[in-house]
Amino acid sequence: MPDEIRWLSSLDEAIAQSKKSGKLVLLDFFSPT
Amino acid sequence: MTYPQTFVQTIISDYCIPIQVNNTLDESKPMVAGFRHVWTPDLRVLDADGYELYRWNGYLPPAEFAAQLLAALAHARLRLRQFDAAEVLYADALKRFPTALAAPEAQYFSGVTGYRKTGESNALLHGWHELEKTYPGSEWTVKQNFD
Repeated sequence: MPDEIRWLSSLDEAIAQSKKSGKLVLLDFFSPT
Repeated sequence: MTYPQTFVQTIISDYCIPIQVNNTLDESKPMVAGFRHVWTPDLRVLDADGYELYRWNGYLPPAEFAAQLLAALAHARLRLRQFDAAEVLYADALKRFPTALAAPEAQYFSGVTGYRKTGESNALLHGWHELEKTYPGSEWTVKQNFD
């Protein structure tokens, strides 16, 4: 079980990891409250 | 809160490379412009080339979010013509979250997946019959008509 979600902040890094893992990228735009 | 829920974290961990973009930062402006982002929450599912395959806006409580995410990932796999993966994800969404808001959409595209995978019209008709029977009042039941 994951302890927490390991969010990335770089799209290039997310795409690189996606290519390597075969997983899809989940992109979440947020606005801090 | 949606993300602290373990079952949400598990779906993200199992199937996704997650990235968060703070839309208030100057450094996020290229992403905000590039994705034509306008309102949060704004979730996108992208392929390994950064091509957008599914998107939705708006807050969802944990179980609704989980169902929507599974349906989104399934739809992404369907668009990539990875029918086996799409089939598994749609089945998981429907089994675990049959009353979720995203369930009728999952049932609709589950039928589409079966048809695209096999070329058999019965796969589509069976899926859509289930849709009409289980979710008679849904938007997706309206959309499955071709009269």
